[in-house]
Amino acid sequence: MRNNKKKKSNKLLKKVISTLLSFLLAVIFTVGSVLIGVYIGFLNENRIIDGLNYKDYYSGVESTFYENSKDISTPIGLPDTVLDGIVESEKVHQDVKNYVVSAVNGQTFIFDIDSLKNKLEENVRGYFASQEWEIQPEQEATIPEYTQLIADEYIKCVKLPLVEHFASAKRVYQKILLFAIPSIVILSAIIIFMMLHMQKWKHRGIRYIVYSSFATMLMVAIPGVVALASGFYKHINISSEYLYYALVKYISNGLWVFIYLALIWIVVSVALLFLIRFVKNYKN
Amino acid sequence: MAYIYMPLIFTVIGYGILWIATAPVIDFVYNVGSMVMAQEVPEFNTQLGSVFDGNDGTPEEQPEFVSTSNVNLPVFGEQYGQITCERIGLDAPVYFGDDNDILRVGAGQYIGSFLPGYGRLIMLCAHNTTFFRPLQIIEAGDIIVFKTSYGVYQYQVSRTDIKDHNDSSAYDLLKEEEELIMYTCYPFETMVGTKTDRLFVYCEKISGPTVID
Repeated sequence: MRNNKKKKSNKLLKKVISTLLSFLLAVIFTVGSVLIGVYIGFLNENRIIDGLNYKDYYSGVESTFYENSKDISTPIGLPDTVLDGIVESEKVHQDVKNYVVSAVNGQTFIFDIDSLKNKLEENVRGYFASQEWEIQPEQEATIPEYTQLIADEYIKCVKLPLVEHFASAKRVYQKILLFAIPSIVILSAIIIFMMLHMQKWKHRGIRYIVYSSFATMLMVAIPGVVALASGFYKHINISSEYLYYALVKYISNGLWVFIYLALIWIVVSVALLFLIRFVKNYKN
Repeated sequence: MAYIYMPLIFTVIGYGILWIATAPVIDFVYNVGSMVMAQEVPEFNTQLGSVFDGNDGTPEEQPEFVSTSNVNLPVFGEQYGQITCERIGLDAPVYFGDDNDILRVGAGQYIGSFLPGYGRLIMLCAHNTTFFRPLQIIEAGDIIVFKTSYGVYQYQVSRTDIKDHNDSSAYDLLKEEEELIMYTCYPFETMVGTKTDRLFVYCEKISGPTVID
C-alpha cells in the first residue's frame, strides 16, 4: 500500500519535472529559432537585394536623382536638358547593388562619378554654345562646383539609408550567435537526455520533446503569421515610394523566414511522432 | 489530445512570461513605433492638391470682411491662390508650403507665415529662374493681385532689398500688420556660383477682405 503510494508520487513528480523540462526545452528551441530567423531573415544581404528588386527601386533612385538634380539646376539657371544622359539606368542599377553588397560586408564602395561629371560639363558647355553665350570667368568657375553638386546628389540617392550600420549589426549578431547556438545545443542535449533518462519507456520521453517542438512551432509562427496577416508593417511612414516598397518587401521576406522555420518544426514534430510509433512497436 | 493542449499551454505560458518580462519596455516600443507608423497604409500621390476655386472676382467687388468659416484652410502642398502682377508678367499658383515639390510647380508659402486677410505677414518664395524670374524688373509702386477662394487681395510694392539668406532681419514674423514679402535667389544670372543672397520684395496691403471670427 505504502509502496504503491510512493510509486504514484514518484510518477507524478516525474510528470511534473518532465513537463517543466519540456517547457524549458520549448523556450530554448524558440530562442534558437528566433536567433536563426533574425539572422537568415533580416541580417542577410540577399533579403535586402530581394527587397530592392521587388518594385522599381532602381528606377525610383534614378528618377529621384534627376528630380533632385533639376532642383539644383533650376536656381542656378540651367535647363533640365543639361542633365540628359548624364547617367545610364544600368549604371544606377549596378551602383546601387554594388554599394549595398559592399556596405553589408563592411567595405567602402568607391563611386565612379567621372563619366557623370564629364558628360554634365559637356552638356553645360553645349547649352551655352546653343544659346550663343560666351562663358564668363565666374561661370567657368561655377561649372566644377555645379558638377560636383550633382555628383554628390547622385551618391546621396544611390546610398541606401542605414545600410552602413548593417555590417556592424551583423558582426555583433554573429558574435552573439557564436556563443548562443552552441549553448542552446548543449542545453537542449542535456534536457533531452534528462527527459529520456527519467522515463522507463523512451517513447514517453520523446513525447515530451514533441510537446516542445509543437510549442516551438506555435511560438515561432504566431508573430510572423499575425504580422503578415495584419500587415501592420505596411503602415510604416517613409517618404520615397521606392524605398517604402523595398523596406516592406524586406520585412515581409524576413517574416516569411519565421513561417518556414515553423514548418520545419512541424516536420520535426511529425518525424518524432513516427519515432514514437517506431519505438513503441520495437518495444512490443 | 495532449499533443494539442500541452503545446498550447506552453505557448500561452511562454508568451505570458515574455509579456511580463517586457512590460516595462512595451509602452516605450509602442510609442517609438507610433512615430514611424501611419494610421493607414501610405499613399504615394505625387499630384499636389488644391483648395483654390479659380476665383474670378475683381479687387473692386470684394467685401470688407470674410468669416473664418468661409476660409478653406489649405494643408501642406495644396494650392490656395494665384498671384499676378500684370506689368512684369508675374503669374504663379501659390501653394501652402515651400519644399522642392512645390517650387517645381509654383510659388510656395513659408508655413510659419499667414494667409492673406489675417492682418499678418505673408511670405512667398519661388525660383528666380521660373515663377519669380519677373521679380528682377519689379519696382516700388507695382500692384500685386493675390487671388484666393475667399477673396481677392491687392498689394503695392513698397520697396525691395537684397540680403543674405540667413539674415532674419529681412522679415518680422510677429509683425501685426499685413505685409506680403516675396523672395527669391539673387542674382538672376545663370551659373554665377552658389546664390546665397535673396531679393526681398515688400508689399503693403491696399485692398481685400479681412478674415474675422
